[in-house]
Amino acid sequence: MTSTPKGNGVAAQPGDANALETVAEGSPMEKEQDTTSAALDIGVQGHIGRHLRAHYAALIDEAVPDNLLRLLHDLALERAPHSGVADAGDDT
Amino acid sequence: MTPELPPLGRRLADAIPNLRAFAISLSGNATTANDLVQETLMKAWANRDKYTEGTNLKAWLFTILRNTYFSNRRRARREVEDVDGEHAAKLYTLPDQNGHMDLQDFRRALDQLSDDQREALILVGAEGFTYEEAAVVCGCAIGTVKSRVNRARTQLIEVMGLSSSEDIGQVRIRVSPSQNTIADVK
Repeated sequence: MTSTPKGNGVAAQPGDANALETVAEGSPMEKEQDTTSAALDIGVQGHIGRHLRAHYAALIDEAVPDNLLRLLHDLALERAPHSGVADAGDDT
Repeated sequence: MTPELPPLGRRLADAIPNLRAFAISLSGNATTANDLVQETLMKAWANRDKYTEGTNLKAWLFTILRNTYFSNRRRARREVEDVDGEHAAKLYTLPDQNGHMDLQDFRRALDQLSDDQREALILVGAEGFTYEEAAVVCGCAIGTVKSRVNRARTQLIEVMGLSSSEDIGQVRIRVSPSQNTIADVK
């Protein structure tokens, strides 16, 4: 009843065009989707994958607003004695 | 003069471009996205003792960001009736770098996906999260992520009017049957 996803295809590789194509079968709903995917042209899937990554890469490449970097500096200054995360040494 | 950021601060700074890209993908709006990233950084910093060194910082940050987005959105929905059209109404347009009509069409198609589907597709297909990591970020089952990615892809193909590689036009694709790989043909 509960869908237990099969291990196959669980780990999509970063930036792998096939990441969009390796949806494993599981629940009945997924099976229905699989039937659809089987009919989809692999070239079209690759096309979608490339566009998706190009779109996202363009967003990542945008300049980071200064206020976000300033915020990190402000936060770090507030708790100057803390230099890292893990070592939560006491501050006063 | 600017003081050096501590190690976590530097890692948070490094994560900003990806956090922003994800926030824009979710909200469709640069101002909202910047606010979301700001809120995420503040929450991450305030809760930095909850982050375990050596674990996936990006997944942790993405989880904070998406939870913040949906919680803000629920609040906004209670205040304003028509938030569903918000994404479509504020379509984020990137500065046209290459003038590719193709990519603009793709962005429009992406914006027509449901939040759930767009989120899953971005996390797995663009950000490179495993299905397991994406499931943790979205707070749902792995099978649900797979199903959302699949439906997102199917819908994109429908919206873009593609059904076979012949429809792709100028993008020439060669499929190598033996290796099942796809290569661009110049």
